[in-house]
Amino acid sequence: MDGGRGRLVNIILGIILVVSLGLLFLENATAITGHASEGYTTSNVTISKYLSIDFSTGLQEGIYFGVVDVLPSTDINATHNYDGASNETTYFINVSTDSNTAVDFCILANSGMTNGAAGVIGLDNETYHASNETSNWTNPDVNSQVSITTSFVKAVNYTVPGQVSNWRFWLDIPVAQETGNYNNTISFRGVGTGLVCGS
Amino acid sequence: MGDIKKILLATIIVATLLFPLVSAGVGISWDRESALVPEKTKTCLTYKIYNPWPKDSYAQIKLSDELSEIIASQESETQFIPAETSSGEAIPVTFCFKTPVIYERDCLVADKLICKQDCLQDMKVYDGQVEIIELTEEQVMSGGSGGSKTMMSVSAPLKIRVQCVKHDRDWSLVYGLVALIAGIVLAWNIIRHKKIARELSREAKTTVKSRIKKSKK
Repeated sequence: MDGGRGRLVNIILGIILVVSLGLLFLENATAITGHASEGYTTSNVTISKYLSIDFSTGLQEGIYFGVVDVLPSTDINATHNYDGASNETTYFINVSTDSNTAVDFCILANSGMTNGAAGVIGLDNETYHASNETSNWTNPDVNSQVSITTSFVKAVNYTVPGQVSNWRFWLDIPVAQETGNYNNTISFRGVGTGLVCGS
Repeated sequence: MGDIKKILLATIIVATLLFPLVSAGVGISWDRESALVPEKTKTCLTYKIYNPWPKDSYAQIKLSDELSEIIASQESETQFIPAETSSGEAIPVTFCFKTPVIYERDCLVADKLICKQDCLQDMKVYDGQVEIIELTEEQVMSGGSGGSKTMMSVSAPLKIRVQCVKHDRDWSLVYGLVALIAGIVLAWNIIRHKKIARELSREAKTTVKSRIKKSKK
């Protein structure tokens, strides 16, 4: 009697084992798919964009305002604002002819200009104007200057391949500004025309 | 007057050495601006960088902050781009990311086990940029006093849509556990019965032997 009951328990356990393994398999089995007999062809297109930019030597060097010894000072010119042969700026960014899209340029500063003692010239005082027009005495124009900010903003749109965008920079220094050597970093970003600058 | 000319000439030579007229630039080439990636999946994307300008340059690929929360790994080492590398010869650069678990799941155990996913939430989209930043050598101060260093980058947009994968409750764990317990009990029963059977046969043999001995006497 005992042996018969034990055998029955084992049979039930065996059934539970097999059913559980079966369910486990079904739970994880990939879907069974059928094959339809249809003819087809594919249609495909890849749209690619490419752009390349390059700083002028003046911009590569950095934007410097020299030694200022009269305060307050307004609209201090950066060193290369007018040093071209016909007083044009030598701050410019080239768009390569090996590009297939026009470029919009964005600008930001990492912070206001700071000195070693944490003194700051606020970014309201550091300004620029950029233009795709040929540079001369009045272009880029001091009367169109805009303050640099700590987030990217579009500065000039639609510079086509082979063209340059011209830039000028100015600085105001308030009367109470402490003496010192002030620095920051300004970033320029080229994006496909119409696209956002990003962060 | 001759001395002034020499000084001017020397200044021009030094200036030319310090600030070479040829400059290095950076370019980006891309053919996708969005990707649809299932939740919890590692994906790699490739962009191309080039430099059609007459000077070698170095660049680094970086993803904007909006995409940083889904980045698992990326090749961020500095990439050398030889001068005159055209868009047709652009160098591929790959970065990878792993999408996190972002959609709500209905789980029976510990928020992780025996779960089902109904995908009732809106699709999560990460909208950012792939940036190629040109790396320059330490710039030389030319103005003598304070000023701004400059950095240059180009970027391409990238939108990552994270796909929710709908599924019913996953009972695998329960089935696995039941199978394991049934298997262990079954094995234990079989071993126990074999042992009992062996002992019984040994006892029976001993009894038979003793009976034979008694009958001989």
